[in-house]
Amino acid sequence: MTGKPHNLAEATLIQRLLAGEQDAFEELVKMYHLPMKRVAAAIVGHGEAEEAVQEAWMAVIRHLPGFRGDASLKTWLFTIVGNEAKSRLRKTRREVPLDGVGEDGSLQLLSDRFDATGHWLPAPALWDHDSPEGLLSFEDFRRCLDKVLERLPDNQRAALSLCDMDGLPLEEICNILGVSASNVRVLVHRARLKVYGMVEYYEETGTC
Amino acid sequence: MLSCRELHQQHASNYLDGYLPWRKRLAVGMHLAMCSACRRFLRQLRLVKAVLREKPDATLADSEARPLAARLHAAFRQWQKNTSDRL
Repeated sequence: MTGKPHNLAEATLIQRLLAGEQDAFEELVKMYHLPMKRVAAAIVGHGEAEEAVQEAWMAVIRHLPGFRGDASLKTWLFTIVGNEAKSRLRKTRREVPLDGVGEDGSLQLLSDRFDATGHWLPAPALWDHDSPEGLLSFEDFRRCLDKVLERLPDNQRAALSLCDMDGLPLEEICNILGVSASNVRVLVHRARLKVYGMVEYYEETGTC
Repeated sequence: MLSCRELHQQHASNYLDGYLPWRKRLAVGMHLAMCSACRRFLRQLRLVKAVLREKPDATLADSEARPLAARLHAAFRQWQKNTSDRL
């Protein structure tokens, strides 16, 4: 590794991997397998995602000694799985799906919250819990959150998690998913609105 | 004049994340100055974003992680051996 390490914990993990420590491999797959699968699912669909990630892991092993640390380990892994999934898509299908965000009927439902002039109908109610820590401290809330994320379309889930959970910059998300910036923005917003809908319902009823 | 519906469906996330061009940003700012419902909505959407950021990462279960890690470890050792044999 010749570049600047992204952070100390990451640099240490990479050194342990290069030294062949089996525990380090376990740490790596525990931390990154599921997020990598989300990326793959956005590109090849849920059914082929696991295979794409397994192939990506083999590519990671081959390229690990050349990892320069220019990007974070997370971005590097997501780029590899994104490329693996895109190449799989090119091999197995004649046409790569359009770089579109698709129709989303649930937005229609959300638009019912407004009157003909575009005003709120009714306005959002005040929420009891107004801190992330407060909400996440409830087990049933965490379950509701997992459920709503699971139900998102694959491309919305991947865009939202890369943006809000992994905190990657827009440009990196576009490269990883092979989607234009404006489409990533649409996917993130649609996904956030659905999570908003769940949180709003939870605030009102305590369930989802 | 921007409507609440437009703010909700098109501009809210771009506004929060700083991706709106200045004219639109100005239009949203003017709307927010007069609309308490949209101010509340944006505050709540910001909370949703924070919840997602703070959400603990799901990790792969040990029962799946161990065999996969063992396979990768073995493949890496084999790769190292092949590389050193070639030198």
